[in-house]
Amino acid sequence: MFEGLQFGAPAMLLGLLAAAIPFVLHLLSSVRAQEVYYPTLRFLKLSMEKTARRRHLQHWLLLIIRALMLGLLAIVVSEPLFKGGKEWFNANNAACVVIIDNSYSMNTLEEKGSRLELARTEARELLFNDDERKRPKEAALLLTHDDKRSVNLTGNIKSIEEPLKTMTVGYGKGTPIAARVREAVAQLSNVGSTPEKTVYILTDLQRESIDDLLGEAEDNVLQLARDNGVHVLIVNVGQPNAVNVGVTDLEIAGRRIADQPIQFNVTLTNSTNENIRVNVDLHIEGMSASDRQTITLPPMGKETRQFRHTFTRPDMFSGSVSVAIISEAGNANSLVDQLDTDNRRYFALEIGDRVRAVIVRGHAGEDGSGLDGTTYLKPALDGLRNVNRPWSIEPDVIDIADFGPEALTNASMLLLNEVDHFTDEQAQCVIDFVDAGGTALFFLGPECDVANYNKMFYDDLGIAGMGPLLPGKIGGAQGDVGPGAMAEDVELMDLTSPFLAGLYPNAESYRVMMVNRYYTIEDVVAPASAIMTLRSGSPLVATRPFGKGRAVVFPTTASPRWSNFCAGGSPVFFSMLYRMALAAPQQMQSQQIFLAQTNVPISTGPLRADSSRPNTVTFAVTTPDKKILPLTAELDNATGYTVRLSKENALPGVYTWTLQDAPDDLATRRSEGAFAVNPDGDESFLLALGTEEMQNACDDRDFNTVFVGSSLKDVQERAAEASQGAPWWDKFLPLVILLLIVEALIANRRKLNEGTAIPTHLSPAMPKSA
Amino acid sequence: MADENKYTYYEPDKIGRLRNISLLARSAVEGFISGLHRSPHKGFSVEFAEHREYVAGDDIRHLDWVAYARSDRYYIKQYEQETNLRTYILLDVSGSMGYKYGGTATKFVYGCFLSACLSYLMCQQQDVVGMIAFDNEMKFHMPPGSTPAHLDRMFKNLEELKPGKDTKIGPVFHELAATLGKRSLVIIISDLYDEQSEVLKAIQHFVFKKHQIILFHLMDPSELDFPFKKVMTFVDMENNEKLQVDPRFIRDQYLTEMNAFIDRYRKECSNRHVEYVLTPTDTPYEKMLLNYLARRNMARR
Repeated sequence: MFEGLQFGAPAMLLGLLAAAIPFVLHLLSSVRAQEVYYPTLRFLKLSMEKTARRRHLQHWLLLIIRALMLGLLAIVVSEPLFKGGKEWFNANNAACVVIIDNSYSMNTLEEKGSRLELARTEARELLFNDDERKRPKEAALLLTHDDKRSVNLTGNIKSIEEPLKTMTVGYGKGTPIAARVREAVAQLSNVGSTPEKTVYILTDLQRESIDDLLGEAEDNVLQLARDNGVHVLIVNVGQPNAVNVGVTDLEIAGRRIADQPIQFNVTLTNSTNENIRVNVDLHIEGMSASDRQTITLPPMGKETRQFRHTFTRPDMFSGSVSVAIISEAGNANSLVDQLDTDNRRYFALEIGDRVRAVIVRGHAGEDGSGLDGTTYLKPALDGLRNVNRPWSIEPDVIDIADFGPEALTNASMLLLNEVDHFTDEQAQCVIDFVDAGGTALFFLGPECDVANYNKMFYDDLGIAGMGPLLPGKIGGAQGDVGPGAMAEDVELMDLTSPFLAGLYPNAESYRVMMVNRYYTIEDVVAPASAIMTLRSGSPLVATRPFGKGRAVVFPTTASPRWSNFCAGGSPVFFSMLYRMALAAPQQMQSQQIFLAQTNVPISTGPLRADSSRPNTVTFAVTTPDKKILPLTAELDNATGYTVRLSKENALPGVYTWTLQDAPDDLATRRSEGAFAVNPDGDESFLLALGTEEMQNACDDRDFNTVFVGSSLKDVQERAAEASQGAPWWDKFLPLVILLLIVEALIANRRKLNEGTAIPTHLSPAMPKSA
Repeated sequence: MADENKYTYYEPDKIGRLRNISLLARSAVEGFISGLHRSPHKGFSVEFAEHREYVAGDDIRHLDWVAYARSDRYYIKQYEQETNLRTYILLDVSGSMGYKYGGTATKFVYGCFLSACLSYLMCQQQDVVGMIAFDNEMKFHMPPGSTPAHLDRMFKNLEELKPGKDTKIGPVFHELAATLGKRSLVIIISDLYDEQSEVLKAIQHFVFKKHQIILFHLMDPSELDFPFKKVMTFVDMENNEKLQVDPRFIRDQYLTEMNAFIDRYRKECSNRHVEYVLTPTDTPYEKMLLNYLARRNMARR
């Protein structure tokens, strides 16, 4: 009958001894009865006889009631729980949805294993309990980071066993718990005849995950659950104050070109409540690539550190930044990182060759006048070449007569200096070059055929759907040259332009650029823009994106003929050219770092149309654990051969790929590559709510069907206890016991006082008096 | 006797208060007696009062021949009429009479004062008073008398009395009823703690013998109210029997029984033309007597 009876406060059972108090008082009062003379006992005897039954009944009843009351009070305050008698589940009459948070913070190791393992064990206990009466009638399994293993509500609970067994943590952005709860409530709402509907959430209560649950939105899911009569039982499988440091973000800055410095900005977090000393390392291709940095991470804080590295050759490189807690030798209390998944962050980047810039001279050979812009442009782009230092730009000069597609092989930048006239083929060559991602700079001169320029690059290109190549229509020439001629200076600069931003904050650096004569550029409208404007209002430098590339027009000469750009005018000009050159290789900036468990695109990049190419090719992708995944890709002229690595396969690490049977015309860098996959950095910062904190938060929001516990058993007990009603009266019970005892003592004292009122002459101990 | 009080139970100051109503009292008692016991010797008592002239029809035995010799006229001797009130005071001196709870006197002491007072008043009005003290037997028996010497002996006897044994009212009263020859006024002073039917039979015996009875039922206030609250062992004052009682449980029943006990005496006395006076001992006896006699007088009117 009392199987399963337990007590929340068994020590209070000692209070059962209080049940003896009435009997003890009764015995004491019997012993101490005072003797007193009375004239006759006849009426007392009669009264005793006539009241005997009632008196005895009342007497014993009173004693028993008092004893029972005290005993019951003692039992009540000992918080009896019939755990076996009233299971929260009714046998074969419950439906439940188990939501498991398998974000990668669940990889955190606790004493009994990882949090995910604990969640798995609890879920098994719930769904496959040995006691058949404790199993739900219908169940579902929803994983926040794995759609494929999720099982909708089913009576075939056995079907959940395999997904539960094989589930792993997810490293990417999963489905929020709140969305899963909404899904669960919807499924349970369709189960009509089951009175008990429960959503179990097995999670480590990371704030990141549960903020939505506690949000103030009107359609809050926990409120929705309550309104639908669905209980939500949250099992916190995590422990507070987990020790964890991690690399949560890695940003790579700099031109990915040989001999250009690359900066690795590393964000490190410490989820612990104390300072932690860590070592941070940069590894490239398995080798240490920088000096180790030893830093102290502040408690519950973040820190950003930089590594610099210069790649001296073009290639595909991969590596990682790692962090490790410095363990103190011989100190057993050294902190141990409980979540090491986030201790390393991977990267892959393609370092391109030096930028090849082709300078096209508008006429054959140098004219020897000293006014040939070519002679100024080449040194401007050649920088340190002559002092035998690494330089990222490699300029070549050709005559316009030699200009054609072949001249632009591997070129990223094209400078057209005072070209008088373009043939259709030359114009098409420029257009294709820019469309494919190149940067074309036009320097105009006295012999330029403005009408030809407008025809080739402005008027007739409006039908291409991409707009004109030129940023505006070129108008007539303005200004004079020669001694005494007035020059115009620069009035406005677009310092937000990537070519000018941060170069010189002082406007005077720009105003020293003087222009005597120039062509006007009309109708400069977005997406075109003027990044420098003369005092007359006409653009000095105008640019316009076109296709994947960009066109830039300088409506004056690069030579001192019409301006002082090159002849000691301003260092701004050289810096601007340098930036334009390094910005030219578009493909080098493409993304090679992806978030885990997203569909990662693998592509050869845009290819020239060629009907001889096969429609499909096979990518051989080597995973971080050295498995090779053959993926078939279809040809798309815009993106080249492209395929996506599935979410399930995109786990953290560095992947390499090669194109099997690559077409002969593909450059090497288009037929092989690498990319890196990293976990969601937000999960790395372990900031969790405690069990009681979460329960209080739910209570504050009046989510009275939500219970939070540190284990399945705990949360079920809490729910069962709540379903039996809150024992509000137990707070008053100690007071009641105290009052009863006080009452008994006072009653006894009153009797004693009355006893002293009996006249002494009536005591048999005194002699009788007349 | 009146100059210096040498008796315990004689209190001249209190009795003095009763003198003011002595006429009332006397008339009440006399009227009471004369109303019930018309004297067969009316006009022929021993004490000469006056002469009157003879008229035809007068008994010649009452002619005063000496006066005739002196005056040659016929005179009839007139004598003051002598009352024949004979009073017996029956005082209960059983053990239970020795009880008092509060600051008042015991029932025994109260009875003694009451007896002394009544005796004195009776003697003052030329009645004869006798006294019988009893418990389960007669303790002493003083034949009626009215002289100061008689009172003196009576008061001294009272002082020698003490509450004694258990009560046997029935046998004692039957014996008395059989021995009291003439019709008398019988004043009973007792707590009547004996078998009630036996007591009533004994009283009936007095009634049967044409005695007039006044019954002063002495009760301590605590016997009427039963003010006890704590559990106590009560000891019977007459036989030392013990009984442990929780008064809170039985008080109501006790009061019911006590009231029934008193009511039965009151009713049975009324049926037998016996004057029943319930006398709580916290009421001063002289006040009680004043009230009683005044009430009695009012009833006669």
